[in-house]
Amino acid sequence: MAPRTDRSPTALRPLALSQSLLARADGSTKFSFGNVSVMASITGPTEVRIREELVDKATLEINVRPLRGLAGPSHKAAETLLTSLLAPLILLHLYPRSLLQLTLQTLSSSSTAFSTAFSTSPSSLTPSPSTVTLQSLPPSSAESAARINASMLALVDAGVACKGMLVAVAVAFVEGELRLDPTQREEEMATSRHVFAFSFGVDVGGTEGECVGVDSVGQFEVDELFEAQSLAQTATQAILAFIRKSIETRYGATGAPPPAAVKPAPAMKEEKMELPEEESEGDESMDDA
Amino acid sequence: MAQSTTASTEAPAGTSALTPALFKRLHPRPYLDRFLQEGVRPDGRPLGADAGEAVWRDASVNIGSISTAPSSALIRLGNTTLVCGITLEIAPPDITTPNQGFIVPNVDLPALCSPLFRPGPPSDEAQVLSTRLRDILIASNVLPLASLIIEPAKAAFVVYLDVVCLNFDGGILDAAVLACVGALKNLRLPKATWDPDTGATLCEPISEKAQGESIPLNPLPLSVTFGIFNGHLLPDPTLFESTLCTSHITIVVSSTTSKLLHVYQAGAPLFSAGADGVEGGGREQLKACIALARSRAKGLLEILA
Repeated sequence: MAPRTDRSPTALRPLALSQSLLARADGSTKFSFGNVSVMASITGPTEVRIREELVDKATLEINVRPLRGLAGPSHKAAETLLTSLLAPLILLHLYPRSLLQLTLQTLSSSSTAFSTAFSTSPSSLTPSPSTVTLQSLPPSSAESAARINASMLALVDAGVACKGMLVAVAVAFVEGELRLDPTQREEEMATSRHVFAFSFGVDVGGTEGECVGVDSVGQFEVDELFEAQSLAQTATQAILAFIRKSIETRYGATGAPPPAAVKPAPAMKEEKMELPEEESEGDESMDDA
Repeated sequence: MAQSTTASTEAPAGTSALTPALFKRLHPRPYLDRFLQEGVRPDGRPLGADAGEAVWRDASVNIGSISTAPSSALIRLGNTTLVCGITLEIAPPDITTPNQGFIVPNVDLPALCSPLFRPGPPSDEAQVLSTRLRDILIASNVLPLASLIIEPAKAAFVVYLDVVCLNFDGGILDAAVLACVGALKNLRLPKATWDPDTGATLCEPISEKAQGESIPLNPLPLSVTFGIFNGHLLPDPTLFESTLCTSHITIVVSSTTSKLLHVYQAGAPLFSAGADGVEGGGREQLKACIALARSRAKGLLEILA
């Protein structure tokens, strides 16, 4: 596979973050790595079904939705990963007997174009064992990382109390080269893919970050895993800096709430007034790690 | 506490109210913690890195126990029991991958294996296990998809791996991977030919005369799970232990090469408190886990052979 030309192998794609996009949800966020984009929305704390009620903490319900069709087993696996990552970070005991509902909607589709040439010639039947790639697994690592980031930022937008920030990034090994934030094509040609999640905050990783989640698949050496983890750690620190800058711009650098604006009464006009603000946030991007 | 006083009022006078079974039921965390403080686990396994093979549950494999399936494996891992049966089918390959067959693993957790599950459509847990099993089998390339081709773009074998759990006591993914590998090792594909004139595949059933051919497998994936409870590393946790663990690590190692095939960990940070016998940062401890997983994989491979 050709080397990267548009950015260095250890650079992220442009990041984009916009918050409070949905008027009816308690918190919402769109997070993108380049063209991989995920929308997350939070409803809650709200009423919980009696069957799912927990007397000492909130019930966390996560729904992952594909771009089209119904959620399948792979989406259930993504929900499980998110639940085990987020549940220890959210202060669920502050919201007993209530429900926190997190819904994630993928906004980017994996390309349906034929990305690789294929032939039925007998020579292509026996690939050499050294070039085993993950072509048969759908490329999902970058989206998985975007989902984790979008969920965390939706929690921030909704004002749900958390112990710290969770930031994730994907890494892939393509022909022995470590590539940060792989594109769909790179994920297909990779020999291994890794998603790392780091938590930041007092007692949960400080400013350095602490690895709380690893999801690696493929064929890799132990040293490669740690090499990828180190790169992911610096990358998540850069993503966190981007998030911080983006949220500071939104609320003002000092962290004070924005001045109260007098809004006209009709709902239609209200929406129109909000749009330009959000777009300006969404445009914020960062090119380099 | 209120519950334990209720229990004591019901107990006959003069006897100790808090029996071990009651203590386990009412206060599972302190129950497990007391055991671990004594350096032993509730099922009698020792704790610590230098305990050797005794930290694992007994594993056994019975290959070919289902006579009606082309290949099957029955696995016991402690009390966990599951069976993997292979069914074969012939189908046209996907248009984008004309040189590849299909592997379709499916994990079934029926109501009979544990009171946690109800009859009906597959539970979330079963779906998650199926997905992860598929990821492991495909990514490890244990059975090359290209070897399932009968005629490129026309006909290929579909290998269904149906894993049915009979007794659910933790370590299901480990046992499922072992069962699939055991069944795949024993699989013989019947001789099949594509007839271009009729556009049909002719398949000769496996019999005494036509033994079919076994498929050369790549290095086998072997999965090992660890639980983390209060800074203790619990290799191969039982169901009781794994429900209390704050985090799990699953490591899939390759049987013959030094490569790792899958590493999965989510939840509380890897050993914030010092774990048993392994000091240093999370990275050193993950290395220790990988070393433990490799030694376990050797043992599992001997069982399969």
